[in-house]
Amino acid sequence: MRRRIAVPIGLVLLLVLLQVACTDSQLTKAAKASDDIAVSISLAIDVKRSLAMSIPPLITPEEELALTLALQRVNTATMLFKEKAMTFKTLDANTKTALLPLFQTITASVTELNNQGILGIKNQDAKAKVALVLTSLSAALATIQSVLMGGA
Amino acid sequence: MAILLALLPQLIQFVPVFVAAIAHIKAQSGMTTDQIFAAAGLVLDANNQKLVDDLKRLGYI
Repeated sequence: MRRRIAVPIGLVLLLVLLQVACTDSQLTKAAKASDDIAVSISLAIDVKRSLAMSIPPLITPEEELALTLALQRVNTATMLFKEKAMTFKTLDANTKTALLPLFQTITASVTELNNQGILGIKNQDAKAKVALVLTSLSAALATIQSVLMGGA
Repeated sequence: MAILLALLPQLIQFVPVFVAAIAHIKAQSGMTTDQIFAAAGLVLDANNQKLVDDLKRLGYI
């Protein structure tokens, strides 16, 4: 179980880290980071389900519900960001300004995922597993932040 | 050398991670920006469906 979860989470971390060094355009970096966030959410769903359905369950139905709702908010925020970003052909000052509030909604929803979803998990092993996915999410968000606010 | 041999079983378990990571990066590298966005959209849509299914299972909706 631990290895099955560590393998895909390590995959996402690795591909996010490798993409930081590439020479893609800013819009392509944002696209890849959006894809990475999507994959991270998918992994989080799988981790959540496996924790809920293990015998005995490692998270309660209430904890799973909190996680599910929080993940849905992150997923929806990412969808909105992706749909707006893909209407642009390049990222300049104007398009970055348009994307910034949508990006901030993603970061706020991830903070909510941590505060209302992850921190509430009583089983420490389960909490650590879900928190690991949050790490990969945060790494992808850092890429988008550097694109929107920096020179990356 | 002894340390490497001791770590080998732990490192080997990550070989699939690296292989899968390289495959994913290669797949993304071969895509246009639009294609990457489209791929992200497919995953996000699938995520949403899974989450809705989970909310139904949990009796929330």
